[in-house]
Amino acid sequence: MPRHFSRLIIATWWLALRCFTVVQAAPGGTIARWDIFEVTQSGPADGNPFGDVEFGARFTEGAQTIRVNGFYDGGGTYRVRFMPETTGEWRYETFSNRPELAGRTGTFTVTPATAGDHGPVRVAHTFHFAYADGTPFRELGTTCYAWVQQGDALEEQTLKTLATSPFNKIRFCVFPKNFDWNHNEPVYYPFEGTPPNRWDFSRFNPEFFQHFEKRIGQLRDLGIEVDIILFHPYDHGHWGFDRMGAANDDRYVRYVVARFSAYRNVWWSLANEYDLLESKQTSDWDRLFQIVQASDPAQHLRSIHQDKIYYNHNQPWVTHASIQNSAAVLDYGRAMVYRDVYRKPIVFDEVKYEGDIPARWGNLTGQEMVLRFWTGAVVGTYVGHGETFLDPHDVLWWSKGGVLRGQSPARLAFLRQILNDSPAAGINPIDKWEEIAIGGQPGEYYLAYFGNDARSSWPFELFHTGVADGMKFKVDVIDTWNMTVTPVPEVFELKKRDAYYFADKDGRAVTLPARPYMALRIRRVH
Amino acid sequence: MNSHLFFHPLRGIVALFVGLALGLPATAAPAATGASVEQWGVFELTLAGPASGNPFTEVELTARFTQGAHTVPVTGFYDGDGVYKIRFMPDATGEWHYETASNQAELGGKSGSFTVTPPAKDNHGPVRVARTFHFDYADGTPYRELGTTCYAWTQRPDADEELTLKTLAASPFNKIRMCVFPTGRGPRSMRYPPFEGPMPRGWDKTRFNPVFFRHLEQRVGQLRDIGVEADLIVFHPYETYWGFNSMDAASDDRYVRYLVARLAAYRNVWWSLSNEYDFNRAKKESDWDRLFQVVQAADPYGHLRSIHNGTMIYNQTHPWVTHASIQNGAAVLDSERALLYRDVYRKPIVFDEVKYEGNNAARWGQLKPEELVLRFWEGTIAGTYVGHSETYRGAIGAWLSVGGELKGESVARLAFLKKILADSPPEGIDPIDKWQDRHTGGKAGEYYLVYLGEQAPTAWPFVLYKTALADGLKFNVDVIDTWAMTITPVEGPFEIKKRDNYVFADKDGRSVSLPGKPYQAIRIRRIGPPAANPIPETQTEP
Repeated sequence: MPRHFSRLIIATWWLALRCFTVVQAAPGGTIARWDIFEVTQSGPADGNPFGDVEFGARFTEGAQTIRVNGFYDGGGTYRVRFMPETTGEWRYETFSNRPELAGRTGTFTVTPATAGDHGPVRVAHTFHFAYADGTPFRELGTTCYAWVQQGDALEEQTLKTLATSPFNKIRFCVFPKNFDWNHNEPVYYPFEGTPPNRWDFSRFNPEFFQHFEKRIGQLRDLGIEVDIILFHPYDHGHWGFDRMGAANDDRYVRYVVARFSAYRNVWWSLANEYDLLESKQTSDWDRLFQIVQASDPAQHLRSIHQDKIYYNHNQPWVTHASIQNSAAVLDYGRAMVYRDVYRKPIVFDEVKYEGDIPARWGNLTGQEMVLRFWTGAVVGTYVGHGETFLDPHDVLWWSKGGVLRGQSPARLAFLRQILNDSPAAGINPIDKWEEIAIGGQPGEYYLAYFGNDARSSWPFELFHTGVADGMKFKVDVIDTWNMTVTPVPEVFELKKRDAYYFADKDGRAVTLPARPYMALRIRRVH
Repeated sequence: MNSHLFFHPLRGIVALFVGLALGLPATAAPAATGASVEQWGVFELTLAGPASGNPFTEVELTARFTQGAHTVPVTGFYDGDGVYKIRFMPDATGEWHYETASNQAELGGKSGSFTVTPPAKDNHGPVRVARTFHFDYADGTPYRELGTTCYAWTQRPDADEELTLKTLAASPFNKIRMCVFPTGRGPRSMRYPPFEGPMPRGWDKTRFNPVFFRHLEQRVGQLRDIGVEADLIVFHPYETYWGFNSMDAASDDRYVRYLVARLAAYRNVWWSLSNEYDFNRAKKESDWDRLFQVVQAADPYGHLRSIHNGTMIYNQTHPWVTHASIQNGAAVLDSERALLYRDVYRKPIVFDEVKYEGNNAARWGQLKPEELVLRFWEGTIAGTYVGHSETYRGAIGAWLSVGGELKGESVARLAFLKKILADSPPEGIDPIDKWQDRHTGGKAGEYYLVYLGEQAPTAWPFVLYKTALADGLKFNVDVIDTWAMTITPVEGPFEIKKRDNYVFADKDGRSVSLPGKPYQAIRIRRIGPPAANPIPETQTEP
């Protein structure tokens, strides 16, 4: 071995001893499946480390090798984060265009997941979601666009509110928001430079991201998925984060993915109301989606949210359709159209908000909000919540978080309880385009929702798929507003009625209280 | 001179027989000159060539039609008995030149020129997508799609087929969906076999039966002559008796190319790759992708292309799909359902199957006429198009399958709707303030159609969404009874004044009186020039 080469190895070995730290697992240590394994190294702090230094690691277990990009965290510190998805003995080796950062190796053991950790959420059964361990994830989201830009006091209050709420997903933006009721400057800025609009987009502000990922981790610990909105149009050029240009957009997206991807509760929402971002074309969104797809080793869920013009959710890089449309979840026949056309999970992430602002997008009553959730649920889609009650300090949940004041969250908690008790394969329309008010799993479980229809009875009849003469069913009458479940005493038995339907053999009906917002749960007696 | 111009027995086709009519060797044919054909008519070149071997698979024949810098490559086809044809639909007037190429010496190198004259009065050219969601003829005339379906009408005796044509000529329909292949079982379900070979399944799929295709072309030409577009259903899942819909991929592709080579020059042709494509178990999604691309590549004119679904919807966002052909009867019960497909596909939406008027035992074929007419109106105000058919059994069978006569009560109401639409803005009807349950379509600031369906209100408050409006604009109003087919003007214009951040209302708070019956519509038309500073369409609703 040439003398100069061995000296280099010794020098880098020394550097490794001095600087090399593994935060969550020492070499030879252990980490739980789906936790974060982090490698930290020291390296150059001069020049522009964000742009000049390539750094990452390859993680190997058995025949699988996963390439993970690292990132510069300021102060000469480089990190690479990895979320192992399989248990066993893992090995890693760093790579870099700087010799002092390349070639570090180490091993660690991944143990089974800790209790309560089900892994990242994936698409399941075409239209639904499940955690990586197979546990159904029954999406019930809310939105607080700019809650991480509000300072510790309010942010901690938001976390406290979320901890006792029914929500298992929250949508929020990376960039701060400049809009009605949102004219405060953020605590941290994502780039180096001078506020409000003189930025060096090639240099990130690690403090901003450290703060942001602290909040991601806190949400993970509360069991809440984070739908991170990468771009939004509510900047209006104030900071200029909505018009950085393609090269800066791409660098920003890669940096965000490198930093956050190892958090198992991350989802990527490319944009809110993408079509209002006038500086970007559809082709830009296609490209940005593909960057996320290519750079995220964990393959977290990917979506994009629209104002008036839909993105093509049939693109292969879109994992589920994130839809803004309030009217769609007023009617079963509307909501289910999206399932047919996309064959992916449908999440109505914005259906107007419960509140009292003058704008029509933010003045639903609690009843109107809850009706949308139930309508969406019985046709096998998912609906999102938000709240816009006027506040003397302009703290509206929809953007800043704080406390929930509406009447819907309690009813949504009740809905979640009902759904937790529904089939693991999810709820699907039973006889789509026909008797469309009923969803479930044929022959096993049905959920009928009557919305504003205050009927006094429902003839017991089920579409023919999955049923046969003699099958018996128990029925619960559910008041979705008053949050009661009332079992019907009798057991209903099926008999074929015609080419399409089976009915109770004695022609019985289920009695209903002639109030709106009633539902029926029908479960097979085995 | 050894080339002759004939007027083809099928009106509208100009046929040029090169070296054939006089029985001279085709190789001796010089350039044909002096012929003329109207724009968007059919120029047909006939050549003599080999009849031995398998001309369908062994002979390649193409021609390049050129006008200035504009060149259209066209594929010819073998028509049996040593006869080869190349059909061309010119899209511009003036002098055109052609030159053939072939792997057979006697078919290649034929050249000639001809003159394309302006189109006749009722010839507007092929139908194209226009303004994202609508259709126009190639000459810019709006095409307001109003279709019906007779799947197997070309498998009948002449008397039946002529009756269907007669019925169509007097109907409001300007499109018919029809299968190329027979839909039933047994010899009576098929007029001519499309392939050579013994019945019922011994087909030589490499040899087409020209008689079958000539017959189809005759009917397509007759439809063109009565102003009806032919939406040709290339495959369907309704029989396994003949086996035409479960051929291997090579046979499918060969059939599709032959069909396109024969029929693409007919300006009224549309390609529907399949009816209920997902019910065809012999084909996968990838087969449909391929077949679409075969059609797209083979058709020099880019005729409209679609595919119709059973319960699974094809990915209509593919670039080779020109418009979404949708089966969903429930979608057009509510304009707010129907318009969702526009958002998703950003293409014209044609609800080609919404259940049928009739008395069939199956629930897809027992709509009351009122129910079918309602679907048309809901679809219309959503800015989409809806399709008709009937299941009543007439003398020769049900219109849906064999054509014949129309017996239903919806047809007259659809003719009435057609009349209303003929008088609407040429740009087409688009939803006004979508997703807000306004049940209004039209052209903002100029023309509105409100449809109230089964509601039977006695009044409609005069309120319009703000886009393109300004204080002081005046509107005339008609109350339309879509079932009784009456148009009743409402006295005095309504003048608008801004009411809030979203809407303008009549300045005196007036409402439009209504008769308290279902199936009413309101037509609102601006009087005078548009607003000088109207409210633009964009708005932000975070």
